[in-house]
Formats: sequence, C-alpha cells, structure tokens
Amino acid sequence: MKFLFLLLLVLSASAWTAADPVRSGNVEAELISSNAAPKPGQEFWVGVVLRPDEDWHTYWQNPGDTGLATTVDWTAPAGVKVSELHWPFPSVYDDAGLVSYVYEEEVVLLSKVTLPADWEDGSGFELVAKVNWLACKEACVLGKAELSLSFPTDSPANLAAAEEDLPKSASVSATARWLNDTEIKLTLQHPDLASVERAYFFSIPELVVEPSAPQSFTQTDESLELTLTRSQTNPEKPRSLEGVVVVDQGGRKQAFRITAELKS
Amino acid sequence: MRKLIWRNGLRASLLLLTLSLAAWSAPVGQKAPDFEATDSHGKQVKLSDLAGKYVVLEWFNHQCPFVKGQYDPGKMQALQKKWTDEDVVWLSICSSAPGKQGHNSANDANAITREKGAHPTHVILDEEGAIGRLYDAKTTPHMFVVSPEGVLLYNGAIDDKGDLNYVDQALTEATGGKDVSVAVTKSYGCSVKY
Repeated sequence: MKFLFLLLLVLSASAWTAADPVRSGNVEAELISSNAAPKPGQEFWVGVVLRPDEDWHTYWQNPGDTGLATTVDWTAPAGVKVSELHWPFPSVYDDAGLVSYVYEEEVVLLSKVTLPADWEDGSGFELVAKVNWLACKEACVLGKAELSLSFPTDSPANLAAAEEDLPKSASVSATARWLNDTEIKLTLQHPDLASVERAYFFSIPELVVEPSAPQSFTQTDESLELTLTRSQTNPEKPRSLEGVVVVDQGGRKQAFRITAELKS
Repeated sequence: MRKLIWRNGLRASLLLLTLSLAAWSAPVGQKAPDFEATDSHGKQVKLSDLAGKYVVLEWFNHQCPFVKGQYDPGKMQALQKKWTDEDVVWLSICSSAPGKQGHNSANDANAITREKGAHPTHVILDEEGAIGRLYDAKTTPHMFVVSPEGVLLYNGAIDDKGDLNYVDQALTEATGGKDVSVAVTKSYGCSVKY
C-alpha cells in the first residue's frame, strides 16, 4: 500500500516536471545544459529544445503575420540568474501570401545561467522551464511542457551549433532611410558580405515591417541594400529598425543583429 | 513576451493618415472598405447599408485553437450578446477556402453557430477570401470595429492574451463618446486559410 502510494506520488510528480523529452502538440520538448556540473560564479548555456514533427513549425519572437511566439518561464533557486531568451535566427514561412517567421526544424532557444560567486560548490539545484508554444502545419495546435533539469546532470550537451545560429551583434553597421512614404532602404556594411545570394530582414518588434511585403535586395562592392515596406496595419511610422538580417552565402547562412535610426 | 501596442488616439491616427498617401488595405481612422455578401441564411449584407450602427468584423475558423480559446469558455458569445443587445451589428466572417480548415457549407455554419450558442448578427462565408483580402485579415481571430459613420476604429487582436479585451474596450470607449485608446494591435492566432 505504502509502495503504491509512493509510486503514485512519483508518477504524479513526473507528470508535472520532466527531465526527459515531453511530447505535446506535435512537438517534442527537452531541456539541456552546456555544463553538467557548473562551479560557483560560472556562466553557461541552457537550451529549450523544440523538435516539431515533420512539416510542422514553431514561431520566432516576432511570429510575423500569424502564429504566436514561444514563451519560457523559468524557476531557479534564489541567486541563480537566468537570462532572457536568445533566439536563433528564423526562416520565412509563406502561407498563401501570409508570411510568418518560424523554425521549420528543431530549434534550441538559449538562456544564459549564472551561478552566484558564493554558491556552495557541488551543491545540487534544479532549473524548471514552463514552455508554451504554438505549432502549425496547415492546422495549429497549442503545446506546453514543464521541463526540469537537476544539476549536476549526467553529461553536458553540445550547444555550439545552437550558439552558431544566434544573430551576431556589433560586427555589421546598418543605416536606414525612407525611400518614400511606405518603403525603407536598409543598408548594411560588413567586410564578410561577399557573394550573398539572398538577404532578409526580420524585425524584432511587431507592426514595424510588413511581413507579407516582398523584400528586394541588391549588392554593391561593400554593402547590401534591402528595400522594406513598413507595416500596413500600423498607421504610426516607425522611427527605428531593430532586428535580425539573415544572409545566405551559397548555402551558408549567418545572421546579424542590427539597430538603425530611420532617417528621411 | 514582447507586446507592442500603439496607444495613439484616433485623432492622432487621423492626422497621420491625412498626411499619408499610402494605399492601406484597412487603415484605422479612414473609411472601412465597403463589401457586399450573402450570409449563411441567404440574406444580403452590405457594410455601407449598416451606416448608423457600430459594426464588428470577426474573422473566424471554428477549428482554430485560438478561436476555440474564445468560444469554449463562452467569452466570444458573451461579447457578441452584450454588444448585439446594444444594437451593434456583429459579422462573423470565415475566409477559409474550399478544402481548407474551417471551410463550411451554410448549413454547417449555422449548426456551428447554434452549437456554440453564438450571437453574431450574420455569418458570412467568404470562401474566395475577397473580404479577407480587402481587410488584410491575417489570423483567426482578427477583429475590426467600424463606427456608425463607416470609419474603421479598431484593427487587431481580440485581447492582450490576458483579461483585456480590445474589442470590448474600443466599443465601450466609442459608444461613450471617447476616442479609442488602443486602435491598432497585432492580431495573433492561426493563419486565415485562404
């Protein structure tokens, strides 16, 4: 009887939080860490992995025309800092002219965790991530999972690939100006922008750039130019651009984080 | 989560739009695009014939989880009841193309309305997507409010993903003689199945 009670307790506890992958809403979700046994004062990455079923997608921080951004709420012991999400760059998903900003494959949403300097070395702790997402194929399904990770973990996860997909800041200079009442010319300068096949700007704030408007792109010797259309929903003109430019150089994609004041 | 809401009053939008020559599909502060359609009971509905009344346009797909999120707890029905009782005209529009999610025959649409206990004035099956494209409806739900003068007062989400219902707020403010404080928001939900 006692055993049964304990078993029930364990079962019900595991339904609330899980170290193993959780399936919900056509997605498998898992929590992983780059550091299996972090030391006092150390900083390391943890990642919320979302693996959608084939042909399904989840959404970026600005979902674009449709959809809903994934959210992660963290619970950590006092003193342990967990950063805002660092989002790998998204891709464009065109659904009958409605354009969304999505992840069509597995994505790892990263957060930086910092242990306090006066943390007792070797003492175990737990991180819990409450994750909510929308996954769509033609239909959409809301999914959620409560994921937990107990430190020390069995082994560190390799998050280098996920880190590689984060937009890089400070390596590209961007300027933006109005071409007319609705169109914006965004110019990027960066030494490593040769042989760009495609470039695309993803605005981080919503209602700034119209997702469904095509972005034309030209390349000169030293710069990339993108023509963007401002939001057709928002009557207020934006004053600046803040977002991510993804450039495709013969199959190799890299992303830059940019901000630019909008000049007339 | 980042949420951007423009708390521009209607007056500010009007001023901006007077200065702007852009071809907006459904600009808040300007004349709402007119359309004519047959409702699910075979009655003709023309927006400009509804002048003198507030009109709510609700983009709808009964299989979308965000639409269910409004209807399953009865929130949308309560809002429809509250405002149609105040002589507001409520148009539930489905722009799902034939074969796409949410597409229905008129009979099925009427059965769904009955089943859900919904209170729209008319259900419009816009299977060619003409009204959806005219308003640039992106999601279900996607909400619009039109003034008795035919001016678009609100374009955006049903709510702030919490307790603040933007349509209720816009109608309360407008019918109380006030400017609509939140006139444009980012709608969220499933894509309209054009």
